[in-house]
Amino acid sequence: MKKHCLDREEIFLLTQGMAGEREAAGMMAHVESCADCRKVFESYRRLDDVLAQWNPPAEPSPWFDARVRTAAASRPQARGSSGFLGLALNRWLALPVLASLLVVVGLIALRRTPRVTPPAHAVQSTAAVHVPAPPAQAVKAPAAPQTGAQEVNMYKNLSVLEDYDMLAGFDVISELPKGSSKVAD
Amino acid sequence: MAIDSDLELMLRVSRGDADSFGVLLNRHRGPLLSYFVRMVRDRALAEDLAQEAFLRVYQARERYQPEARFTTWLYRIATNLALNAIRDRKSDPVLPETAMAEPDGDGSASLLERAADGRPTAEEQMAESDRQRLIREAIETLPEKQRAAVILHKYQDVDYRQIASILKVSESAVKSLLFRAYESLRVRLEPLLEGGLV
Ligand SMILES: [Zn+2]
Repeated sequence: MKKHCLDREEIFLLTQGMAGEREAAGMMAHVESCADCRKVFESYRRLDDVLAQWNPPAEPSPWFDARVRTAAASRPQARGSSGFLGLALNRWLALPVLASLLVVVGLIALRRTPRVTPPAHAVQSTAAVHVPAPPAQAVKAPAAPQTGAQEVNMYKNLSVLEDYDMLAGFDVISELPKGSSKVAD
Repeated sequence: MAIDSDLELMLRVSRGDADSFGVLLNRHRGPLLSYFVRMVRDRALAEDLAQEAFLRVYQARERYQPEARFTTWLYRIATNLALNAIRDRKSDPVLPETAMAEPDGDGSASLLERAADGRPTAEEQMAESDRQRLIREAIETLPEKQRAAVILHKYQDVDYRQIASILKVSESAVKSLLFRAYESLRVRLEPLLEGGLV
Protein backbone atom coordinates (compact mmCIF):
# COMPACT_ATOMS: atom_id res chain seq x y z
CA MET A 1 0.00 0.00 0.00
CA LYS A 2 2.97 2.30 0.59
CA LYS A 3 3.12 3.57 -2.98
CA HIS A 4 -0.38 4.97 -2.58
CA CYS A 5 0.46 6.86 0.57
CA LEU A 6 -0.76 10.41 0.73
CA ASP A 7 1.47 13.36 1.35
CA ARG A 8 0.98 15.46 4.46
CA GLU A 9 -0.82 18.25 2.66
CA GLU A 10 -3.33 15.84 1.14
CA ILE A 11 -4.02 14.35 4.53
CA PHE A 12 -4.35 17.81 6.05
CA LEU A 13 -6.85 18.87 3.39
CA LEU A 14 -8.79 15.67 4.02
CA THR A 15 -9.09 16.47 7.73
CA GLN A 16 -10.33 19.98 6.91
CA GLY A 17 -12.93 18.95 4.35
CA MET A 18 -10.93 20.70 1.64
CA ALA A 19 -9.89 17.66 -0.41
CA GLY A 20 -11.44 17.36 -3.85
CA GLU A 21 -14.88 15.76 -3.71
CA ARG A 22 -14.01 13.03 -6.18
CA GLU A 23 -10.79 12.08 -4.47
CA ALA A 24 -11.90 12.34 -0.86
CA ALA A 25 -13.60 8.94 -0.59
CA GLY A 26 -10.59 7.08 -2.01
CA MET A 27 -8.20 9.02 0.18
CA MET A 28 -10.25 8.29 3.25
CA ALA A 29 -10.32 4.60 2.42
CA HIS A 30 -6.54 4.63 2.25
CA VAL A 31 -6.16 6.46 5.54
CA GLU A 32 -8.39 3.92 7.25
CA SER A 33 -6.30 1.04 6.00
CA CYS A 34 -2.82 2.58 6.45
CA ALA A 35 -1.35 3.03 9.91
CA ASP A 36 1.21 5.63 8.78
CA CYS A 37 -1.28 7.87 7.07
CA ARG A 38 -3.78 7.41 9.86
CA LYS A 39 -1.18 8.61 12.34
CA VAL A 40 -0.73 11.82 10.39
CA PHE A 41 -4.48 12.18 9.96
CA GLU A 42 -5.05 11.85 13.69
CA SER A 43 -2.30 14.33 14.50
CA TYR A 44 -4.16 17.02 12.53
CA ARG A 45 -7.38 16.06 14.26
CA ARG A 46 -5.67 16.47 17.62
CA LEU A 47 -4.28 19.82 16.59
CA ASP A 48 -7.79 20.90 15.62
CA ASP A 49 -9.04 19.85 19.05
CA VAL A 50 -6.31 21.87 20.75
CA LEU A 51 -7.04 24.94 18.62
CA ALA A 52 -10.72 24.67 19.48
CA GLN A 53 -9.83 25.41 23.09
CA TRP A 54 -8.90 29.01 22.34
CA ASN A 55 -11.98 30.97 23.20
CA PRO A 56 -11.17 34.50 24.31
CA PRO A 57 -14.19 36.39 25.68
CA ALA A 58 -15.72 38.63 23.02
CA GLU A 59 -19.00 40.02 24.22
CA PRO A 60 -20.02 43.25 22.49
CA SER A 61 -20.46 46.16 24.90
CA PRO A 62 -24.02 47.41 25.52
CA TRP A 63 -23.29 50.60 23.59
CA PHE A 64 -21.91 48.81 20.52
CA ASP A 65 -24.87 49.57 18.22
CA ALA A 66 -25.31 53.10 19.51
CA ARG A 67 -21.71 53.95 18.71
CA VAL A 68 -21.99 52.58 15.18
CA ARG A 69 -25.21 54.52 14.57
CA THR A 70 -23.81 57.72 15.97
CA ALA A 71 -20.66 57.40 13.92
CA ALA A 72 -22.68 56.55 10.81
CA ALA A 73 -24.78 59.65 11.30
CA SER A 74 -21.95 62.01 12.14
CA ARG A 75 -19.45 61.01 9.50
CA PRO A 76 -20.08 62.00 5.92
CA GLN A 77 -20.54 59.26 3.41
CA ALA A 78 -17.42 58.03 1.69
CA ARG A 79 -18.84 58.63 -1.77
CA GLY A 80 -22.10 59.72 -3.34
CA SER A 81 -24.15 62.85 -3.09
CA SER A 82 -26.94 61.70 -0.80
CA GLY A 83 -25.49 62.04 2.66
CA PHE A 84 -27.04 60.67 5.80
CA LEU A 85 -29.63 63.44 5.91
CA GLY A 86 -31.47 61.99 2.96
CA LEU A 87 -31.68 58.53 4.46
CA ALA A 88 -33.74 56.76 7.00
CA LEU A 89 -30.78 56.45 9.34
CA ASN A 90 -31.53 59.94 10.52
CA ARG A 91 -34.47 58.40 12.30
CA TRP A 92 -31.85 57.54 14.86
CA LEU A 93 -30.22 60.89 14.86
CA ALA A 94 -32.45 63.54 13.42
CA LEU A 95 -30.93 66.91 12.63
CA PRO A 96 -33.06 68.89 15.10
CA VAL A 97 -31.96 66.62 17.91
CA LEU A 98 -28.34 66.97 16.89
CA ALA A 99 -28.65 70.74 16.78
CA SER A 100 -30.17 70.97 20.24
CA LEU A 101 -27.56 68.53 21.53
CA LEU A 102 -24.85 70.79 20.23
CA VAL A 103 -26.33 73.74 22.06
CA VAL A 104 -26.47 71.72 25.28
CA VAL A 105 -22.89 70.57 24.87
CA GLY A 106 -21.83 74.12 24.05
CA LEU A 107 -23.50 75.46 27.16
CA ILE A 108 -21.83 72.82 29.30
CA ALA A 109 -18.49 73.76 27.78
CA LEU A 110 -19.11 77.43 28.51
CA ARG A 111 -20.19 76.75 32.04
CA ARG A 112 -16.82 75.14 32.60
CA THR A 113 -15.10 78.39 31.66
CA PRO A 114 -15.02 80.43 34.88
CA ARG A 115 -15.76 84.14 35.41
CA VAL A 116 -17.30 84.87 32.02
CA THR A 117 -20.81 85.11 30.70
CA PRO A 118 -21.21 83.52 27.28
CA PRO A 119 -21.96 86.09 24.60
CA ALA A 120 -25.04 85.32 22.59
CA HIS A 121 -23.17 84.97 19.31
CA ALA A 122 -20.94 82.30 20.81
CA VAL A 123 -23.93 80.14 21.63
CA GLN A 124 -25.22 80.68 18.14
CA SER A 125 -22.04 79.54 16.52
CA THR A 126 -22.11 76.47 18.75
CA ALA A 127 -25.46 75.53 17.28
CA ALA A 128 -24.01 75.97 13.82
CA VAL A 129 -20.97 73.94 14.64
CA HIS A 130 -21.04 71.97 11.38
CA VAL A 131 -18.74 74.59 9.91
CA PRO A 132 -17.08 76.31 12.85
CA ALA A 133 -15.13 79.47 12.18
CA PRO A 134 -11.40 78.92 12.43
CA PRO A 135 -10.32 79.74 16.00
CA ALA A 136 -7.51 81.95 14.68
CA GLN A 137 -10.08 84.35 13.29
CA ALA A 138 -11.63 84.81 16.70
CA VAL A 139 -8.26 85.45 18.30
CA LYS A 140 -7.47 88.15 15.75
CA ALA A 141 -10.68 90.10 16.40
CA PRO A 142 -9.23 93.24 18.00
CA ALA A 143 -12.48 94.66 19.40
CA ALA A 144 -13.13 91.82 21.80
CA PRO A 145 -9.93 90.01 22.71
CA GLN A 146 -11.45 88.34 25.75
CA THR A 147 -14.39 87.07 23.79
CA GLY A 148 -11.99 85.73 21.21
CA ALA A 149 -10.03 83.74 23.75
CA GLN A 150 -13.30 82.52 25.16
CA GLU A 151 -14.37 81.33 21.78
CA VAL A 152 -11.08 79.52 21.26
CA ASN A 153 -11.67 77.68 24.51
CA MET A 154 -15.13 76.85 23.44
CA TYR A 155 -14.00 75.38 20.16
CA LYS A 156 -11.36 73.39 21.97
CA ASN A 157 -14.02 71.96 24.23
CA LEU A 158 -16.10 71.09 21.21
CA SER A 159 -13.71 68.30 20.33
CA VAL A 160 -15.87 66.43 22.80
CA LEU A 161 -18.43 66.20 20.02
CA GLU A 162 -16.25 63.67 18.27
CA ASP A 163 -16.52 61.38 21.24
CA TYR A 164 -19.09 58.86 20.14
CA ASP A 165 -19.71 57.54 23.64
CA MET A 166 -20.57 60.98 24.84
CA LEU A 167 -23.13 61.40 22.07
CA ALA A 168 -24.33 57.84 22.40
CA GLY A 169 -24.88 58.50 26.09
CA PHE A 170 -27.79 60.73 25.23
CA ASP A 171 -30.74 58.37 25.35
CA VAL A 172 -32.68 60.58 23.02
CA ILE A 173 -30.53 59.34 20.15
CA SER A 174 -31.34 55.71 20.57
CA GLU A 175 -34.90 56.24 21.68
CA LEU A 176 -35.90 58.69 19.03
CA PRO A 177 -39.49 58.01 17.99
CA LYS A 178 -40.19 57.05 14.40
CA GLY A 179 -42.05 60.15 13.39
CA SER A 180 -39.51 62.63 14.61
CA SER A 181 -37.46 62.91 11.48
CA LYS A 182 -38.35 66.04 9.65
CA VAL A 183 -36.23 65.33 6.61
CA ALA A 184 -38.26 63.77 3.85
CA ASP A 185 -36.66 61.01 1.87
CA MET B 1 -41.53 34.20 9.91
CA ALA B 2 -38.96 33.92 7.18
CA ILE B 3 -35.42 34.95 7.99
CA ASP B 4 -34.12 37.50 5.54
CA SER B 5 -30.83 36.71 3.90
CA ASP B 6 -27.92 39.03 4.44
CA LEU B 7 -28.08 39.88 0.78
CA GLU B 8 -31.72 40.95 0.93
CA LEU B 9 -31.07 42.99 4.03
CA MET B 10 -28.05 44.69 2.51
CA LEU B 11 -29.97 45.57 -0.64
CA ARG B 12 -32.60 47.20 1.54
CA VAL B 13 -29.90 49.09 3.43
CA SER B 14 -28.56 50.36 0.13
CA ARG B 15 -32.06 51.71 -0.58
CA GLY B 16 -32.04 53.57 2.73
CA ASP B 17 -33.69 51.09 5.12
CA ALA B 18 -32.06 51.68 8.50
CA ASP B 19 -33.97 48.85 10.22
CA SER B 20 -32.31 46.31 7.93
CA PHE B 21 -28.93 47.69 8.88
CA GLY B 22 -29.89 47.11 12.52
CA VAL B 23 -30.71 43.48 11.74
CA LEU B 24 -27.33 42.97 10.05
CA LEU B 25 -25.59 44.62 12.98
CA ASN B 26 -27.38 42.39 15.43
CA ARG B 27 -26.63 39.27 13.41
CA HIS B 28 -22.94 39.84 12.76
CA ARG B 29 -21.50 41.96 15.54
CA GLY B 30 -20.79 38.95 17.80
CA PRO B 31 -18.87 36.89 15.22
CA LEU B 32 -17.12 39.99 13.91
CA LEU B 33 -16.01 41.06 17.36
CA SER B 34 -14.60 37.61 18.13
CA TYR B 35 -12.72 37.76 14.82
CA PHE B 36 -11.11 41.04 15.84
CA VAL B 37 -10.39 39.85 19.38
CA ARG B 38 -8.46 36.91 17.94
CA MET B 39 -6.75 39.05 15.34
CA VAL B 40 -5.62 41.98 17.51
CA ARG B 41 -6.11 40.58 21.03
CA ASP B 42 -6.78 43.95 22.67
CA ARG B 43 -10.45 43.84 23.61
CA ALA B 44 -11.14 47.59 23.40
CA LEU B 45 -9.33 47.95 20.09
CA ALA B 46 -11.25 44.94 18.75
CA GLU B 47 -14.53 46.62 19.54
CA ASP B 48 -13.42 49.87 17.90
CA LEU B 49 -12.42 47.97 14.79
CA ALA B 50 -15.66 45.99 14.67
CA GLN B 51 -17.61 49.23 14.89
CA GLU B 52 -15.43 50.76 12.21
CA ALA B 53 -16.07 47.76 9.94
CA PHE B 54 -19.85 48.20 10.27
CA LEU B 55 -19.50 51.89 9.73
CA ARG B 56 -17.64 51.26 6.47
CA VAL B 57 -20.30 48.81 5.37
CA TYR B 58 -22.89 51.49 5.96
CA GLN B 59 -20.89 54.17 4.22
CA ALA B 60 -20.33 51.95 1.19
CA ARG B 61 -23.92 50.64 1.09
CA GLU B 62 -24.62 52.14 -2.31
CA ARG B 63 -21.64 50.36 -3.80
CA TYR B 64 -22.63 46.94 -2.48
CA GLN B 65 -22.44 44.34 -5.23
CA PRO B 66 -25.08 41.66 -4.70
CA GLU B 67 -22.94 39.04 -6.44
CA ALA B 68 -20.53 39.01 -3.51
CA ARG B 69 -21.71 37.34 -0.31
CA PHE B 70 -22.31 39.84 2.44
CA THR B 71 -19.98 38.07 4.87
CA THR B 72 -17.23 37.97 2.24
CA TRP B 73 -17.49 41.70 1.91
CA LEU B 74 -17.73 42.24 5.68
CA TYR B 75 -14.71 40.05 6.41
CA ARG B 76 -12.69 41.66 3.66
CA ILE B 77 -13.24 45.05 5.24
CA ALA B 78 -12.56 43.56 8.67
CA THR B 79 -9.38 41.81 7.59
CA ASN B 80 -7.97 44.98 6.08
CA LEU B 81 -8.70 46.87 9.29
CA ALA B 82 -7.18 44.15 11.46
CA LEU B 83 -4.03 43.78 9.40
CA ASN B 84 -3.53 47.55 9.34
CA ALA B 85 -3.93 47.68 13.11
CA ILE B 86 -1.39 44.89 13.52
CA ARG B 87 1.05 46.69 11.20
CA ASP B 88 0.55 49.97 13.08
CA ARG B 89 1.31 48.22 16.33
CA LYS B 90 4.48 46.70 14.90
CA SER B 91 5.73 50.02 13.57
CA ASP B 92 5.00 51.78 16.84
CA PRO B 93 5.82 49.35 19.62
CA VAL B 94 6.56 51.96 22.30
CA LEU B 95 3.45 53.70 23.52
CA PRO B 96 2.78 56.12 26.35
CA GLU B 97 1.75 54.67 29.68
CA THR B 98 -1.55 56.51 29.55
CA ALA B 99 -2.64 54.20 26.80
CA MET B 100 -2.15 51.29 29.15
CA ALA B 101 -4.07 52.91 31.95
CA GLU B 102 -7.14 53.53 29.88
CA PRO B 103 -10.04 51.50 31.17
CA ASP B 104 -11.59 48.94 28.87
CA GLY B 105 -14.07 50.39 26.44
CA ASP B 106 -14.52 53.83 27.95
CA GLY B 107 -14.44 55.24 24.44
CA SER B 108 -12.41 58.32 25.28
CA ALA B 109 -10.42 57.77 22.10
CA SER B 110 -12.31 57.98 18.85
CA LEU B 111 -12.46 55.08 16.47
CA LEU B 112 -9.06 53.87 15.32
CA GLU B 113 -7.25 56.46 17.39
CA ARG B 114 -6.88 54.24 20.40
CA ALA B 115 -3.36 53.10 21.06
CA ALA B 116 -3.05 49.53 19.91
CA ASP B 117 -0.39 48.10 22.13
CA GLY B 118 -2.17 44.75 22.33
CA ARG B 119 -0.89 43.92 25.78
CA PRO B 120 -3.58 42.19 27.80
CA THR B 121 -4.94 43.90 30.88
CA ALA B 122 -4.43 42.30 34.28
CA GLU B 123 -8.00 41.08 34.13
CA GLU B 124 -7.46 39.49 30.74
CA GLN B 125 -4.30 37.83 31.95
CA MET B 126 -6.13 36.33 34.90
CA ALA B 127 -8.85 34.96 32.70
CA GLU B 128 -6.48 33.43 30.16
CA SER B 129 -5.21 29.99 31.07
CA ASP B 130 -1.71 28.85 30.16
CA ARG B 131 -3.21 26.62 27.52
CA GLN B 132 -5.12 29.47 25.93
CA ARG B 133 -2.06 31.67 26.05
CA LEU B 134 0.07 29.05 24.28
CA ILE B 135 -2.49 28.70 21.50
CA ARG B 136 -2.87 32.45 21.11
CA GLU B 137 0.89 33.01 21.01
CA ALA B 138 1.33 30.24 18.46
CA ILE B 139 -1.26 31.82 16.18
CA GLU B 140 0.17 35.30 16.72
CA THR B 141 3.56 34.18 15.45
CA LEU B 142 2.11 33.16 12.08
CA PRO B 143 2.64 35.46 9.10
CA GLU B 144 -0.37 37.76 8.75
CA LYS B 145 -2.15 36.03 5.88
CA GLN B 146 -1.74 32.61 7.47
CA ARG B 147 -3.04 34.04 10.70
CA ALA B 148 -6.11 35.56 9.07
CA ALA B 149 -6.73 32.37 7.09
CA VAL B 150 -6.53 30.16 10.19
CA ILE B 151 -8.82 32.38 12.23
CA LEU B 152 -11.38 32.66 9.43
CA HIS B 153 -11.26 28.93 8.75
CA LYS B 154 -11.05 27.54 12.24
CA TYR B 155 -12.95 30.04 14.37
CA GLN B 156 -15.23 31.97 12.06
CA ASP B 157 -16.25 28.90 10.10
CA VAL B 158 -15.71 30.65 6.79
CA ASP B 159 -15.46 28.37 3.75
CA TYR B 160 -12.02 28.27 2.12
CA ARG B 161 -13.42 29.50 -1.21
CA GLN B 162 -14.77 32.51 0.61
CA ILE B 163 -11.43 32.99 2.39
CA ALA B 164 -9.79 33.12 -1.04
CA SER B 165 -12.09 35.95 -1.99
CA ILE B 166 -11.56 37.76 1.32
CA LEU B 167 -7.77 37.57 1.08
CA LYS B 168 -7.79 38.04 -2.70
CA VAL B 169 -5.76 34.94 -3.38
CA SER B 170 -6.54 31.73 -5.27
CA GLU B 171 -8.30 28.80 -3.63
CA SER B 172 -5.18 26.67 -3.91
CA ALA B 173 -3.23 29.49 -2.23
CA VAL B 174 -5.65 29.35 0.71
CA LYS B 175 -5.13 25.59 1.01
CA SER B 176 -1.40 26.15 0.98
CA LEU B 177 -1.61 29.00 3.54
CA LEU B 178 -3.64 26.84 5.88
CA PHE B 179 -1.37 23.83 5.45
CA ARG B 180 1.74 25.85 6.23
CA ALA B 181 0.01 27.46 9.18
CA TYR B 182 -1.04 24.11 10.62
CA GLU B 183 2.47 22.73 10.15
CA SER B 184 3.88 25.64 12.16
CA LEU B 185 1.19 25.33 14.80
CA ARG B 186 1.81 21.59 15.11
CA VAL B 187 5.43 22.28 16.03
CA ARG B 188 4.67 25.19 18.37
CA LEU B 189 1.86 23.42 20.15
CA GLU B 190 3.69 20.13 20.54
CA PRO B 191 3.60 20.33 24.38
CA LEU B 192 -0.19 20.44 24.26
CA LEU B 193 -0.44 17.72 21.62
CA GLU B 194 1.88 15.34 23.42
CA GLY B 195 0.36 15.73 26.82
CA GLY B 196 -2.81 14.00 25.68
CA LEU B 197 -4.70 16.51 27.80
CA VAL B 198 -6.87 17.45 24.89
ZN1 LIG C 1 -0.46 5.43 3.71
